[in-house]
Amino acid sequence: MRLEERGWVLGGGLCAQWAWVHRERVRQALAELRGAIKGLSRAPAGARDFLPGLNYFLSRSGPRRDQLAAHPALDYWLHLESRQRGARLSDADRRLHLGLFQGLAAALALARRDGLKTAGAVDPDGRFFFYGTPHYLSFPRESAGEAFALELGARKGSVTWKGRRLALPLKALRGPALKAPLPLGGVALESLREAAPGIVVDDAGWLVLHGVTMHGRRRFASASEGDRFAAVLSRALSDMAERAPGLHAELTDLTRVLVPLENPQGHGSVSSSYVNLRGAICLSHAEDPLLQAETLIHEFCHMKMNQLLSVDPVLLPGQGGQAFYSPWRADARRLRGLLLGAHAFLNVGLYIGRSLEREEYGEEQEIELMVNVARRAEQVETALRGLSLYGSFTEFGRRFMLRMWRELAALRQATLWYPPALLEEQRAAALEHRRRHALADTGLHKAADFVDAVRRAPFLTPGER
Amino acid sequence: MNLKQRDDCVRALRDCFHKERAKGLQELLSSLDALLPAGRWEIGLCGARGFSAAALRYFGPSLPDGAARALGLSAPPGAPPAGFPRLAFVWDFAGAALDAPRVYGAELKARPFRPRDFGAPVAPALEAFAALCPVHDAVIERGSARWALRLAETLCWPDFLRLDIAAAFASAGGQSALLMRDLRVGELAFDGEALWAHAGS
Repeated sequence: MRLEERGWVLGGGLCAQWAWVHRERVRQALAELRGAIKGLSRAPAGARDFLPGLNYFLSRSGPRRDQLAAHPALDYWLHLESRQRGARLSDADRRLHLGLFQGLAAALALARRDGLKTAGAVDPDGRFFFYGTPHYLSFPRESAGEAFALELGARKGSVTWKGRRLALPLKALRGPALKAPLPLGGVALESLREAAPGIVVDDAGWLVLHGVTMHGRRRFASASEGDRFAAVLSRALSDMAERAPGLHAELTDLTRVLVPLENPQGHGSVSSSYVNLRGAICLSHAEDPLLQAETLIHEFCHMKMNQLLSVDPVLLPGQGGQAFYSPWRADARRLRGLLLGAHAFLNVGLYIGRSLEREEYGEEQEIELMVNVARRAEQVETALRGLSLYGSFTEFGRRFMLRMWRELAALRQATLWYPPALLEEQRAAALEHRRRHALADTGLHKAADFVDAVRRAPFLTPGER
Repeated sequence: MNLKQRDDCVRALRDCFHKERAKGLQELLSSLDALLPAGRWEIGLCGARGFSAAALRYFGPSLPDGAARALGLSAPPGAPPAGFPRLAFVWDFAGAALDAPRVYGAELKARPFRPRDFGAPVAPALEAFAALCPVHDAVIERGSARWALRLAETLCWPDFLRLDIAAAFASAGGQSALLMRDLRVGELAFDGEALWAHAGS
């Protein structure tokens, strides 16, 4: 399929290309899953209790299966699988690893009302998640690592644990997030909050949280704290649906999990996303829905680019030299970093600019937002310049770059009504950052210990000697 | 590069980094200039050792007797194939020592570049490199681990720094660009321990 650049630079909505790239991702995930199942043929007998769930998941095609195949839980599970391949796992570790997958199979069976009999395993925190739904089972903490039998059907379901058969409330499992835990006799059915249909706030899922390594995760001290986190994000998403429907459609299609982070320094926002946890955005709380929207868009753009790069590298392979100036950093970066930064902040700048056009803000906030947009325009231009000076691109990559320049022009257009002094201040700040960290007007990075003792011809201005 | 460019490079090395330690190199080159026929020069930077090592290679006609004696050679060396350097000086600034000059002869052979000749894990890296920077030929020294890739088209220094294979040079990126100026990389070489990038005009 010939990729069209506009939908990848900006939010193009759920078009044919978006679906095609998603199918490619699903195809890759299923191929890896097939490989994992093949590897199980040599596993001990106990491991094969988990095969039904794996085989069931592979055997069922359709939109719900494909959606789950793109869930961050499966992304991370496959990452762990590739790391463990060939290693000697203990029985307990193998049970945990295979048992974690079953939540995806169970969620699929629930949605399709299929019959499924498989084994599950309690995670180290005492839970079993039906990934792709907001629901999970809470076991006593001391049951961590234990296996149980899981049976699902169109009308009935059960968990057999420690010899006891516990009926599962299928109507609740197929419904929205529960407001309170549902006791099931030694085990409880509980739910994560949803920020939007299909997007959970996850501060408890062991598999997904295991992959969050860059920042401290936040456990909500109270229900109201968690509710507030979800509510602000929900507002951010509903605003986005009005102001940038294409972007919103893509973001809510790809994002399945929002992980709350700590913000120990009290920065405006702390956030991250991971190449092996596509569909999970990790972010700290903020009361401002627009700030949360900015963070969501930033991280989503990184995820979107990672999806795109798996089908077209944009930059020709082999250009990983870490020698370039970045307007966002003090250290040298690779061209790929400039590409991801330019793409993310272009979209952030355009969204904030559009919000300024359409909404009323107090004067102080209006100024802050203008500063934000003007700063992003300078930074994006610097990054695009560095890429254009030094990068070699694929055919699609060349079109992608030109489109980014065009959209930057649109962003500049949007700032025409901002106070000139404000724009000048951001330009000066950008130049000062470049003066400190770039090698003159090149796009190369200049280290802190840079020495410039090269002789130059004297430059005389009138009146000087 | 011509003598002016060579001396500008050496002066930059001295003024920016090595001060007195580089003085000996400049003095040696000045004494040789009186003896060597007109030719061209290339500078090489070592990725692993950064600016603590530099190579200067001389491309020109055969060495006259006077130059050979000044270099401590018992007899003028035989001719290397066309396009190869006659002499190479490697200067270790850390120890302020000039290695004995390398004199090239018939041991160098150029052949078509085939990544598989280099074996894993080097072959895939060189293949990716050649996709971005077409290679004219490979020079493999018999009986040693040394090799060189001569490029079909030279690269300006920043274009070289962007490559995966230039990772060893990246940490000195801006500094090296100040030194290399408009010199262009024409050869990527491996001395058995580290990668070198050789650049002329």
